[in-house]
Amino acid sequence: MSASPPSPPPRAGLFPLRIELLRLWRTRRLVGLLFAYAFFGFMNPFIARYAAEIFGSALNSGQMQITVAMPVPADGMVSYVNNALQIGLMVGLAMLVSACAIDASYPLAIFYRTRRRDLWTLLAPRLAVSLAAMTLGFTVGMVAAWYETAVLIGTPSGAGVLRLWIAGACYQVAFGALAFLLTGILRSVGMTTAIAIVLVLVSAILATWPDIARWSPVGLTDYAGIYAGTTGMLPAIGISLAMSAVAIVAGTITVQRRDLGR
Amino acid sequence: MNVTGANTATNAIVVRELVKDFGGIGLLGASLTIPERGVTAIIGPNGAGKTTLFTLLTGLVRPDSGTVAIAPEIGEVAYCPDTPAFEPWLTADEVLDQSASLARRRTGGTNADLLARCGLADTVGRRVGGFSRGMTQRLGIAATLVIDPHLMILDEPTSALDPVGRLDVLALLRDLGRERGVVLSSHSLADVEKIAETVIILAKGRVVYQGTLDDLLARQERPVWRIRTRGNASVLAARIAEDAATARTEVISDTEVIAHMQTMDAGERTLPRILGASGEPVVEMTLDRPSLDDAFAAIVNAEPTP
Repeated sequence: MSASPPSPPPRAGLFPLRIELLRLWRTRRLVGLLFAYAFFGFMNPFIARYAAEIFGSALNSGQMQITVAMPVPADGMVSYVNNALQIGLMVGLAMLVSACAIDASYPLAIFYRTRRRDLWTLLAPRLAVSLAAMTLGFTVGMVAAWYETAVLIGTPSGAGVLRLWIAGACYQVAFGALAFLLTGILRSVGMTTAIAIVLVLVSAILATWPDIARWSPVGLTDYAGIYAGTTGMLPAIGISLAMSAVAIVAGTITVQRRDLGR
Repeated sequence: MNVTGANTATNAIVVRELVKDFGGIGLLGASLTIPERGVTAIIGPNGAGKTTLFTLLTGLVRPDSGTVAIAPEIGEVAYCPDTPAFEPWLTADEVLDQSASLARRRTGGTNADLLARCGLADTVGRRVGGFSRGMTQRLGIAATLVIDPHLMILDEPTSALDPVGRLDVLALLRDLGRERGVVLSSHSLADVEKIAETVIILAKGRVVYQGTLDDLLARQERPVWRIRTRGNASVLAARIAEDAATARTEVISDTEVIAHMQTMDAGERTLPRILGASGEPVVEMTLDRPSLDDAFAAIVNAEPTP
Protein backbone atom coordinates (compact mmCIF):
# COMPACT_ATOMS: atom_id res chain seq x y z
CA MET A 1 0.00 0.00 0.00
CA SER A 2 2.81 2.38 0.76
CA ALA A 3 4.91 3.68 -2.09
CA SER A 4 8.21 1.95 -1.38
CA PRO A 5 8.57 -1.73 -0.53
CA PRO A 6 9.68 -2.32 3.05
CA SER A 7 13.24 -3.36 3.64
CA PRO A 8 14.26 -5.90 6.28
CA PRO A 9 15.24 -4.49 9.66
CA PRO A 10 18.99 -4.19 10.18
CA ARG A 11 20.70 -6.65 12.52
CA ALA A 12 17.38 -8.38 13.06
CA GLY A 13 18.92 -11.64 14.22
CA LEU A 14 21.20 -10.37 16.96
CA PHE A 15 19.32 -7.18 17.77
CA PRO A 16 17.25 -8.65 20.65
CA LEU A 17 20.44 -9.90 22.31
CA ARG A 18 22.04 -6.49 21.87
CA ILE A 19 19.01 -4.85 23.46
CA GLU A 20 19.25 -7.18 26.47
CA LEU A 21 22.94 -6.48 26.88
CA LEU A 22 22.18 -2.76 26.71
CA ARG A 23 19.51 -3.25 29.37
CA LEU A 24 22.09 -4.83 31.68
CA TRP A 25 24.75 -2.25 30.96
CA ARG A 26 22.87 1.02 30.78
CA THR A 27 20.64 0.34 33.77
CA ARG A 28 23.78 -0.55 35.80
CA ARG A 29 22.14 -3.85 36.71
CA LEU A 30 25.18 -5.80 35.61
CA VAL A 31 27.43 -3.65 37.78
CA GLY A 32 25.14 -4.14 40.78
CA LEU A 33 24.97 -7.87 40.20
CA LEU A 34 28.72 -8.33 39.78
CA PHE A 35 29.38 -6.13 42.79
CA ALA A 36 27.04 -8.21 44.97
CA TYR A 37 28.69 -11.51 44.04
CA ALA A 38 32.23 -10.12 44.11
CA PHE A 39 31.56 -8.62 47.53
CA PHE A 40 30.63 -12.02 48.93
CA GLY A 41 33.52 -13.60 47.03
CA PHE A 42 36.01 -11.39 48.84
CA MET A 43 34.26 -11.05 52.19
CA ASN A 44 33.32 -14.63 53.04
CA PRO A 45 36.80 -16.22 52.89
CA PHE A 46 38.06 -13.22 54.89
CA ILE A 47 35.41 -13.78 57.54
CA ALA A 48 36.12 -17.54 57.52
CA ARG A 49 39.80 -16.87 58.06
CA TYR A 50 39.42 -14.30 60.82
CA ALA A 51 36.23 -15.64 62.45
CA ALA A 52 38.16 -16.53 65.61
CA GLU A 53 39.55 -13.03 65.99
CA ILE A 54 36.31 -11.27 64.97
CA PHE A 55 33.91 -13.29 67.11
CA GLY A 56 36.35 -14.28 69.83
CA SER A 57 37.09 -10.75 70.99
CA ALA A 58 33.43 -9.87 70.86
CA LEU A 59 31.98 -12.90 72.64
CA ASN A 60 34.63 -14.31 74.95
CA SER A 61 34.28 -13.34 78.58
CA GLY A 62 35.62 -14.58 81.88
CA GLN A 63 32.86 -17.18 82.27
CA MET A 64 32.59 -18.31 78.66
CA GLN A 65 35.24 -19.25 76.18
CA ILE A 66 34.38 -19.82 72.51
CA THR A 67 36.85 -21.78 70.51
CA VAL A 68 36.72 -21.53 66.71
CA ALA A 69 38.30 -24.30 64.72
CA MET A 70 41.13 -23.39 62.39
CA PRO A 71 39.60 -22.66 58.97
CA VAL A 72 40.19 -24.95 56.03
CA PRO A 73 39.83 -24.00 52.31
CA ALA A 74 36.37 -25.59 52.19
CA ASP A 75 35.15 -23.04 54.74
CA GLY A 76 36.03 -20.10 52.48
CA MET A 77 34.33 -21.56 49.41
CA VAL A 78 31.26 -22.93 51.19
CA SER A 79 30.79 -19.68 53.03
CA TYR A 80 30.83 -17.78 49.72
CA VAL A 81 28.37 -20.11 47.96
CA ASN A 82 26.06 -20.00 50.96
CA ASN A 83 25.74 -16.24 50.83
CA ALA A 84 25.89 -15.91 47.06
CA LEU A 85 22.96 -18.26 46.67
CA GLN A 86 20.89 -16.33 49.17
CA ILE A 87 21.48 -12.59 48.91
CA GLY A 88 23.28 -12.66 45.55
CA LEU A 89 20.51 -14.80 44.09
CA MET A 90 17.89 -12.35 45.32
CA VAL A 91 19.61 -9.51 43.47
CA GLY A 92 19.78 -11.70 40.37
CA LEU A 93 16.09 -12.63 40.60
CA ALA A 94 15.07 -8.98 40.90
CA MET A 95 17.06 -8.28 37.76
CA LEU A 96 15.57 -11.25 35.90
CA VAL A 97 12.00 -10.40 36.85
CA SER A 98 12.33 -6.76 35.78
CA ALA A 99 13.62 -7.93 32.39
CA CYS A 100 11.08 -10.70 31.79
CA ALA A 101 7.88 -9.09 33.10
CA ILE A 102 6.88 -7.73 29.69
CA ASP A 103 3.35 -6.88 30.79
CA ALA A 104 4.34 -4.94 33.89
CA SER A 105 3.95 -1.64 32.02
CA TYR A 106 0.72 -1.54 30.00
CA PRO A 107 1.91 0.86 27.25
CA LEU A 108 5.22 -0.99 26.96
CA ALA A 109 3.32 -4.27 26.70
CA ILE A 110 1.33 -2.77 23.83
CA PHE A 111 4.58 -1.82 22.10
CA TYR A 112 5.88 -5.37 22.33
CA ARG A 113 2.71 -7.36 21.81
CA THR A 114 1.55 -5.46 18.73
CA ARG A 115 4.87 -6.10 17.04
CA ARG A 116 5.59 -9.67 18.04
CA ARG A 117 2.94 -12.38 18.30
CA ASP A 118 5.28 -15.31 19.01
CA LEU A 119 6.23 -14.07 22.45
CA TRP A 120 8.78 -16.79 23.13
CA THR A 121 11.11 -15.03 20.71
CA LEU A 122 10.72 -11.93 22.86
CA LEU A 123 11.15 -13.73 26.17
CA ALA A 124 13.96 -16.12 25.24
CA PRO A 125 16.74 -13.50 24.93
CA ARG A 126 15.58 -11.79 28.11
CA LEU A 127 15.64 -15.01 30.09
CA ALA A 128 18.86 -16.26 28.52
CA VAL A 129 20.78 -13.02 29.11
CA SER A 130 19.45 -12.71 32.67
CA LEU A 131 20.44 -16.29 33.55
CA ALA A 132 23.81 -15.79 31.86
CA ALA A 133 24.39 -12.61 33.87
CA MET A 134 23.48 -14.38 37.11
CA THR A 135 25.84 -17.22 36.25
CA LEU A 136 28.55 -14.74 35.31
CA GLY A 137 28.10 -12.94 38.62
CA PHE A 138 28.23 -16.22 40.53
CA THR A 139 31.38 -17.19 38.62
CA VAL A 140 33.08 -13.85 39.25
CA GLY A 141 32.34 -14.20 42.95
CA MET A 142 33.59 -17.79 42.85
CA VAL A 143 36.89 -16.72 41.32
CA ALA A 144 37.22 -13.96 43.92
CA ALA A 145 36.47 -16.44 46.72
CA TRP A 146 38.94 -18.93 45.31
CA TYR A 147 41.68 -16.29 45.17
CA GLU A 148 40.93 -14.95 48.62
CA THR A 149 40.73 -18.43 50.11
CA ALA A 150 44.02 -19.43 48.50
CA VAL A 151 45.73 -16.32 49.86
CA LEU A 152 44.27 -16.39 53.38
CA ILE A 153 43.51 -20.05 54.15
CA GLY A 154 44.96 -22.42 51.59
CA THR A 155 44.37 -23.53 48.02
CA PRO A 156 40.88 -25.03 47.56
CA SER A 157 40.38 -28.31 45.77
CA GLY A 158 39.77 -27.71 42.06
CA ALA A 159 37.27 -30.56 41.86
CA GLY A 160 35.42 -29.29 44.93
CA VAL A 161 35.19 -25.77 43.50
CA LEU A 162 33.96 -27.15 40.18
CA ARG A 163 31.28 -29.22 41.96
CA LEU A 164 30.18 -26.18 43.94
CA TRP A 165 30.06 -24.07 40.77
CA ILE A 166 27.91 -26.65 38.98
CA ALA A 167 25.57 -26.99 41.95
CA GLY A 168 25.31 -23.23 42.42
CA ALA A 169 24.73 -22.54 38.73
CA CYS A 170 21.99 -25.17 38.54
CA TYR A 171 20.38 -23.86 41.71
CA GLN A 172 20.32 -20.33 40.26
CA VAL A 173 18.87 -21.52 36.98
CA ALA A 174 16.13 -23.41 38.83
CA PHE A 175 15.07 -20.37 40.84
CA GLY A 176 15.49 -18.11 37.82
CA ALA A 177 13.09 -20.38 35.93
CA LEU A 178 10.63 -20.32 38.85
CA ALA A 179 10.78 -16.51 38.90
CA PHE A 180 10.19 -16.54 35.13
CA LEU A 181 7.11 -18.68 35.64
CA LEU A 182 5.87 -16.18 38.21
CA THR A 183 6.16 -13.37 35.65
CA GLY A 184 3.65 -15.30 33.57
CA ILE A 185 1.24 -15.47 36.49
CA LEU A 186 1.70 -11.98 37.94
CA ARG A 187 2.31 -8.68 36.20
CA SER A 188 3.83 -6.58 38.95
CA VAL A 189 7.63 -6.63 39.10
CA GLY A 190 7.62 -5.89 42.84
CA MET A 191 5.16 -8.62 43.76
CA THR A 192 6.83 -11.19 41.49
CA THR A 193 10.27 -10.43 42.91
CA ALA A 194 8.96 -10.59 46.47
CA ILE A 195 7.39 -14.01 45.94
CA ALA A 196 10.52 -15.31 44.19
CA ILE A 197 12.62 -14.18 47.16
CA VAL A 198 10.20 -15.84 49.59
CA LEU A 199 10.66 -19.06 47.61
CA VAL A 200 14.43 -18.80 48.03
CA LEU A 201 14.02 -18.33 51.77
CA VAL A 202 11.53 -21.18 52.05
CA SER A 203 13.93 -23.42 50.17
CA ALA A 204 16.50 -22.87 52.91
CA ILE A 205 13.98 -24.27 55.40
CA LEU A 206 13.07 -27.18 53.12
CA ALA A 207 16.74 -28.08 52.91
CA THR A 208 16.54 -29.32 56.49
CA TRP A 209 14.26 -32.21 55.39
CA PRO A 210 16.56 -34.74 53.71
CA ASP A 211 13.73 -36.51 51.84
CA ILE A 212 12.66 -33.29 50.20
CA ALA A 213 16.17 -32.03 49.67
CA ARG A 214 17.30 -35.13 47.83
CA TRP A 215 14.63 -34.77 45.15
CA SER A 216 14.50 -31.05 44.70
CA PRO A 217 16.83 -28.13 43.88
CA VAL A 218 17.41 -27.57 47.59
CA GLY A 219 19.45 -30.78 47.51
CA LEU A 220 22.09 -28.60 45.88
CA THR A 221 22.49 -26.57 49.06
CA ASP A 222 24.50 -29.17 51.02
CA TYR A 223 27.57 -27.21 50.01
CA ALA A 224 30.02 -28.81 52.41
CA GLY A 225 29.08 -32.31 51.24
CA ILE A 226 29.14 -31.29 47.59
CA TYR A 227 32.58 -29.67 47.97
CA ALA A 228 33.91 -32.77 49.71
CA GLY A 229 32.24 -35.04 47.16
CA THR A 230 30.32 -36.94 49.84
CA THR A 231 26.90 -35.71 48.71
CA GLY A 232 25.67 -36.97 45.37
CA MET A 233 24.12 -34.12 43.47
CA LEU A 234 23.04 -35.75 40.22
CA PRO A 235 19.40 -36.40 41.25
CA ALA A 236 19.03 -32.82 42.43
CA ILE A 237 20.64 -31.48 39.24
CA GLY A 238 18.37 -33.62 37.10
CA ILE A 239 15.29 -32.48 39.04
CA SER A 240 16.44 -28.85 38.89
CA LEU A 241 16.98 -28.86 35.14
CA ALA A 242 13.72 -30.70 34.47
CA MET A 243 11.83 -28.33 36.75
CA SER A 244 13.48 -25.37 35.03
CA ALA A 245 12.45 -26.58 31.60
CA VAL A 246 8.85 -27.09 32.73
CA ALA A 247 8.74 -23.69 34.44
CA ILE A 248 10.14 -21.91 31.38
CA VAL A 249 7.70 -23.59 29.00
CA ALA A 250 4.77 -23.01 31.35
CA GLY A 251 5.76 -19.37 31.90
CA THR A 252 6.02 -18.75 28.17
CA ILE A 253 2.64 -20.36 27.47
CA THR A 254 1.03 -18.36 30.27
CA VAL A 255 2.37 -15.07 28.93
CA GLN A 256 1.36 -16.03 25.40
CA ARG A 257 -2.20 -16.81 26.48
CA ARG A 258 -2.63 -13.72 28.62
CA ASP A 259 -4.49 -10.82 27.05
CA LEU A 260 -4.16 -7.22 28.09
CA GLY A 261 -7.71 -6.73 29.26
CA ARG A 262 -7.72 -4.51 32.32
CA MET B 1 -11.44 -13.66 17.86
CA ASN B 2 -12.75 -14.88 14.57
CA VAL B 3 -10.55 -13.36 11.90
CA THR B 4 -11.85 -14.02 8.45
CA GLY B 5 -11.54 -12.46 5.04
CA ALA B 6 -13.19 -9.04 5.03
CA ASN B 7 -15.01 -7.46 2.14
CA THR B 8 -11.80 -6.41 0.50
CA ALA B 9 -13.23 -4.00 -2.05
CA THR B 10 -12.68 -0.96 0.14
CA ASN B 11 -12.59 -2.16 3.71
CA ALA B 12 -9.51 -3.05 5.69
CA ILE B 13 -11.46 -4.28 8.71
CA VAL B 14 -15.05 -5.37 9.15
CA VAL B 15 -16.31 -5.65 12.73
CA ARG B 16 -19.56 -7.44 13.52
CA GLU B 17 -21.42 -7.31 16.84
CA LEU B 18 -18.24 -7.09 18.86
CA VAL B 19 -18.72 -7.44 22.59
CA LYS B 20 -16.20 -6.97 25.39
CA ASP B 21 -18.16 -6.25 28.50
CA PHE B 22 -16.28 -4.85 31.50
CA GLY B 23 -19.37 -4.76 33.70
CA GLY B 24 -21.57 -2.49 31.64
CA ILE B 25 -18.77 -0.56 29.96
CA GLY B 26 -16.51 -1.51 27.08
CA LEU B 27 -18.00 -2.62 23.78
CA LEU B 28 -21.55 -3.93 23.90
CA GLY B 29 -22.23 -4.97 20.33
CA ALA B 30 -20.35 -2.74 17.93
CA SER B 31 -20.45 -3.19 14.16
CA LEU B 32 -18.36 -1.02 11.89
CA THR B 33 -16.02 -1.01 8.92
CA ILE B 34 -12.62 0.60 8.57
CA PRO B 35 -11.76 1.82 5.05
CA GLU B 36 -8.55 0.65 3.45
CA ARG B 37 -7.30 4.19 2.97
CA GLY B 38 -7.96 7.61 4.35
CA VAL B 39 -8.33 8.95 7.86
CA THR B 40 -11.10 7.47 10.00
CA ALA B 41 -11.88 9.17 13.28
CA ILE B 42 -13.49 7.27 16.11
CA ILE B 43 -15.07 9.68 18.53
CA GLY B 44 -17.22 9.25 21.57
CA PRO B 45 -17.65 10.34 25.16
CA ASN B 46 -15.33 9.01 27.86
CA GLY B 47 -16.04 5.33 28.46
CA ALA B 48 -17.71 4.88 25.08
CA GLY B 49 -15.37 1.98 24.26
CA LYS B 50 -12.84 3.57 21.91
CA THR B 51 -9.70 2.18 23.53
CA THR B 52 -11.38 -1.19 24.07
CA LEU B 53 -12.19 -1.25 20.35
CA PHE B 54 -8.55 -0.54 19.49
CA THR B 55 -7.23 -3.28 21.74
CA LEU B 56 -9.72 -5.71 20.18
CA LEU B 57 -8.79 -4.68 16.63
CA THR B 58 -5.12 -5.29 17.39
CA GLY B 59 -5.70 -8.62 19.12
CA LEU B 60 -4.41 -7.42 22.49
CA VAL B 61 -7.71 -8.39 24.09
CA ARG B 62 -10.02 -11.26 23.19
CA PRO B 63 -13.68 -10.36 22.64
CA ASP B 64 -16.53 -11.99 24.54
CA SER B 65 -18.31 -12.42 21.20
CA GLY B 66 -18.41 -10.98 17.72
CA THR B 67 -15.93 -10.97 14.88
CA VAL B 68 -13.11 -8.83 13.61
CA ALA B 69 -12.41 -9.60 9.94
CA ILE B 70 -9.17 -8.22 8.58
CA ALA B 71 -8.73 -8.10 4.81
CA PRO B 72 -6.04 -10.55 3.67
CA GLU B 73 -3.96 -7.86 2.01
CA ILE B 74 -3.83 -5.87 5.26
CA GLY B 75 -0.55 -7.25 6.51
CA GLU B 76 0.53 -4.95 9.28
CA VAL B 77 -1.84 -3.25 11.69
CA ALA B 78 0.12 -0.98 14.00
CA TYR B 79 -1.23 0.53 17.18
CA CYS B 80 0.06 3.50 19.11
CA PRO B 81 -1.64 4.13 22.48
CA ASP B 82 -2.31 7.62 23.81
CA THR B 83 0.64 7.38 26.19
CA PRO B 84 3.20 5.21 24.42
CA ALA B 85 6.14 3.93 26.40
CA PHE B 86 9.59 2.68 25.47
CA GLU B 87 12.59 1.34 27.31
CA PRO B 88 13.93 4.59 28.79
CA TRP B 89 17.56 3.60 28.43
CA LEU B 90 17.32 3.29 24.63
CA THR B 91 17.96 6.17 22.25
CA ALA B 92 15.30 7.30 19.78
CA ASP B 93 17.34 5.67 17.02
CA GLU B 94 17.46 2.38 18.92
CA VAL B 95 13.73 2.50 19.64
CA LEU B 96 13.01 2.64 15.92
CA ASP B 97 15.45 -0.20 15.24
CA GLN B 98 13.84 -2.21 18.03
CA SER B 99 10.37 -1.55 16.64
CA ALA B 100 11.44 -2.69 13.16
CA SER B 101 13.33 -5.66 14.56
CA LEU B 102 10.34 -6.84 16.59
CA ALA B 103 7.98 -6.49 13.64
CA ARG B 104 10.60 -7.97 11.29
CA ARG B 105 9.79 -5.24 8.81
CA ARG B 106 10.86 -1.67 8.20
CA THR B 107 10.20 1.15 5.82
CA GLY B 108 12.84 2.58 3.54
CA GLY B 109 14.75 5.67 4.64
CA THR B 110 16.83 6.35 7.69
CA ASN B 111 15.70 6.65 11.26
CA ALA B 112 16.89 10.25 11.26
CA ASP B 113 14.57 11.07 8.34
CA LEU B 114 11.67 9.38 10.03
CA LEU B 115 12.25 11.16 13.32
CA ALA B 116 12.55 14.47 11.50
CA ARG B 117 9.28 13.78 9.72
CA CYS B 118 7.64 13.34 13.12
CA GLY B 119 9.17 16.55 14.46
CA LEU B 120 11.99 14.88 16.37
CA ALA B 121 15.00 16.05 14.39
CA ASP B 122 18.19 16.15 16.49
CA THR B 123 16.94 13.52 18.93
CA VAL B 124 18.37 10.48 17.15
CA GLY B 125 21.03 9.78 19.77
CA ARG B 126 19.10 10.96 22.81
CA ARG B 127 17.81 8.50 25.37
CA VAL B 128 14.04 8.49 25.38
CA GLY B 129 13.80 8.42 29.17
CA GLY B 130 14.34 12.18 29.07
CA PHE B 131 11.63 12.86 26.51
CA SER B 132 8.60 15.00 27.33
CA ARG B 133 5.11 13.53 26.89
CA GLY B 134 4.72 15.30 23.59
CA MET B 135 8.06 14.00 22.31
CA THR B 136 7.16 10.49 23.45
CA GLN B 137 3.88 10.75 21.58
CA ARG B 138 5.72 11.80 18.42
CA LEU B 139 8.19 8.95 18.93
CA GLY B 140 5.22 6.60 19.22
CA ILE B 141 4.08 7.66 15.77
CA ALA B 142 7.61 7.29 14.40
CA ALA B 143 7.93 3.82 15.95
CA THR B 144 4.66 2.92 14.25
CA LEU B 145 5.67 4.38 10.90
CA VAL B 146 9.02 2.60 10.84
CA ILE B 147 7.32 -0.75 10.36
CA ASP B 148 5.46 0.65 7.34
CA PRO B 149 2.03 -0.59 8.45
CA HIS B 150 -0.89 -0.91 6.07
CA LEU B 151 -3.18 0.37 8.77
CA MET B 152 -2.24 2.66 11.65
CA ILE B 153 -4.40 2.90 14.75
CA LEU B 154 -3.61 5.90 16.90
CA ASP B 155 -5.31 6.54 20.23
CA GLU B 156 -5.54 10.31 20.79
CA PRO B 157 -2.33 11.02 18.88
CA THR B 158 -2.32 14.76 19.59
CA SER B 159 -3.43 14.77 23.23
CA ALA B 160 0.00 15.72 24.61
CA LEU B 161 1.05 18.13 21.88
CA ASP B 162 1.28 21.90 21.90
CA PRO B 163 -0.78 23.82 19.29
CA VAL B 164 2.04 23.93 16.73
CA GLY B 165 2.93 20.29 17.31
CA ARG B 166 -0.72 19.38 16.96
CA LEU B 167 -0.93 21.04 13.54
CA ASP B 168 2.30 19.31 12.44
CA VAL B 169 1.05 15.89 13.45
CA LEU B 170 -2.38 16.47 11.90
CA ALA B 171 -0.70 17.40 8.62
CA LEU B 172 1.44 14.28 8.86
CA LEU B 173 -1.58 12.06 9.51
CA ARG B 174 -3.46 13.65 6.62
CA ASP B 175 -0.51 12.82 4.35
CA LEU B 176 -0.32 9.28 5.67
CA GLY B 177 -4.02 8.80 5.03
CA ARG B 178 -3.41 9.25 1.32
CA GLU B 179 -1.30 6.12 1.14
CA ARG B 180 -2.72 3.89 3.89
CA GLY B 181 -5.50 3.57 6.43
CA VAL B 182 -5.23 5.77 9.49
CA VAL B 183 -7.64 5.27 12.38
CA LEU B 184 -7.52 7.71 15.24
CA SER B 185 -9.51 8.69 18.26
CA SER B 186 -9.64 12.21 19.57
CA HIS B 187 -11.60 14.35 21.94
CA SER B 188 -10.69 17.37 19.83
CA LEU B 189 -13.45 17.45 17.26
CA ALA B 190 -11.76 20.44 15.63
CA ASP B 191 -8.82 18.13 14.87
CA VAL B 192 -11.15 15.47 13.52
CA GLU B 193 -12.87 18.02 11.28
CA LYS B 194 -9.49 18.99 9.84
CA ILE B 195 -8.36 15.57 8.72
CA ALA B 196 -11.01 12.83 8.88
CA GLU B 197 -12.95 11.65 5.88
CA THR B 198 -14.86 8.98 7.78
CA VAL B 199 -16.32 9.37 11.24
CA ILE B 200 -17.47 6.65 13.59
CA ILE B 201 -19.29 7.73 16.73
CA LEU B 202 -19.34 5.36 19.67
CA ALA B 203 -21.69 5.82 22.57
CA LYS B 204 -22.29 3.43 25.44
CA GLY B 205 -20.34 0.69 23.70
CA ARG B 206 -22.21 0.84 20.42
CA VAL B 207 -21.69 2.51 17.07
CA VAL B 208 -24.30 5.23 16.70
CA TYR B 209 -22.97 6.71 13.48
CA GLN B 210 -20.62 5.67 10.72
CA GLY B 211 -20.21 7.62 7.53
CA THR B 212 -18.39 10.48 5.95
CA LEU B 213 -17.87 13.70 7.82
CA ASP B 214 -19.86 15.56 5.17
CA ASP B 215 -22.79 13.19 5.54
CA LEU B 216 -22.69 13.55 9.30
CA LEU B 217 -22.83 17.31 9.09
CA ALA B 218 -25.46 17.21 6.35
CA ARG B 219 -27.58 14.86 8.43
CA GLN B 220 -27.67 17.41 11.22
CA GLU B 221 -28.46 20.32 8.91
CA ARG B 222 -31.57 22.26 9.77
CA PRO B 223 -33.39 24.67 7.42
CA VAL B 224 -31.84 27.68 9.09
CA TRP B 225 -30.17 30.46 7.12
CA ARG B 226 -28.08 33.35 8.30
CA ILE B 227 -28.63 36.48 6.23
CA ARG B 228 -26.45 39.58 6.37
CA THR B 229 -27.72 42.84 4.93
CA ARG B 230 -26.38 46.33 4.47
CA GLY B 231 -29.94 47.57 4.95
CA ASN B 232 -32.31 47.18 7.89
CA ALA B 233 -32.30 43.73 9.46
CA SER B 234 -35.67 44.27 11.18
CA VAL B 235 -37.39 45.20 7.93
CA LEU B 236 -35.83 42.20 6.22
CA ALA B 237 -36.93 39.90 9.06
CA ALA B 238 -40.48 41.18 8.81
CA ARG B 239 -40.57 40.50 5.05
CA ILE B 240 -39.28 36.96 5.54
CA ALA B 241 -41.74 36.27 8.38
CA GLU B 242 -44.69 37.19 6.16
CA ASP B 243 -44.11 34.14 3.93
CA ALA B 244 -45.83 30.90 4.81
CA ALA B 245 -42.64 28.94 4.23
CA THR B 246 -41.02 30.65 7.19
CA ALA B 247 -41.23 29.15 10.63
CA ARG B 248 -39.74 32.11 12.48
CA THR B 249 -37.03 34.75 12.31
CA GLU B 250 -34.47 36.12 14.73
CA VAL B 251 -32.85 39.52 14.41
CA ILE B 252 -29.30 39.02 15.63
CA SER B 253 -28.04 42.54 15.05
CA ASP B 254 -28.81 45.63 12.96
CA THR B 255 -27.43 43.81 9.93
CA GLU B 256 -28.04 40.12 10.60
CA VAL B 257 -31.13 37.93 10.55
CA ILE B 258 -31.58 34.23 11.12
CA ALA B 259 -34.45 32.67 9.22
CA HIS B 260 -35.88 29.33 10.33
CA MET B 261 -37.69 27.90 7.35
CA GLN B 262 -40.26 25.10 7.31
CA THR B 263 -38.15 22.86 5.06
CA MET B 264 -34.77 22.81 3.35
CA ASP B 265 -36.54 23.10 0.03
CA ALA B 266 -38.42 26.17 1.22
CA GLY B 267 -35.17 27.81 2.19
CA GLU B 268 -33.40 26.92 -1.02
CA ARG B 269 -36.22 27.97 -3.34
CA THR B 270 -38.36 30.51 -1.49
CA LEU B 271 -35.89 32.46 0.60
CA PRO B 272 -33.88 33.89 -2.35
CA ARG B 273 -37.13 35.05 -3.90
CA ILE B 274 -38.25 36.74 -0.67
CA LEU B 275 -34.91 38.44 -0.28
CA GLY B 276 -34.98 39.66 -3.88
CA ALA B 277 -38.47 41.03 -3.47
CA SER B 278 -37.65 42.75 -0.18
CA GLY B 279 -35.53 45.44 -1.82
CA GLU B 280 -33.04 45.23 1.03
CA PRO B 281 -29.37 44.93 -0.01
CA VAL B 282 -28.36 41.37 0.92
CA VAL B 283 -24.62 40.81 1.44
CA GLU B 284 -24.76 37.08 2.00
CA MET B 285 -27.09 34.21 2.75
CA THR B 286 -25.53 31.10 4.23
CA LEU B 287 -26.89 27.85 5.55
CA ASP B 288 -26.31 27.81 9.30
CA ARG B 289 -24.39 24.51 9.22
CA PRO B 290 -23.90 22.70 12.46
CA SER B 291 -20.35 22.17 13.70
CA LEU B 292 -19.06 18.68 14.35
CA ASP B 293 -19.50 19.44 18.05
CA ASP B 294 -23.19 20.17 17.43
CA ALA B 295 -23.64 17.03 15.33
CA PHE B 296 -21.76 14.90 17.85
CA ALA B 297 -23.77 16.22 20.79
CA ALA B 298 -27.05 15.74 18.92
CA ILE B 299 -26.29 12.13 18.07
CA VAL B 300 -24.85 11.15 21.44
CA ASN B 301 -27.60 12.89 23.41
CA ALA B 302 -30.23 11.15 21.31
CA GLU B 303 -29.02 7.78 22.60
CA PRO B 304 -31.37 6.40 25.25
CA THR B 305 -29.90 5.69 28.66
CA PRO B 306 -29.87 1.92 29.22
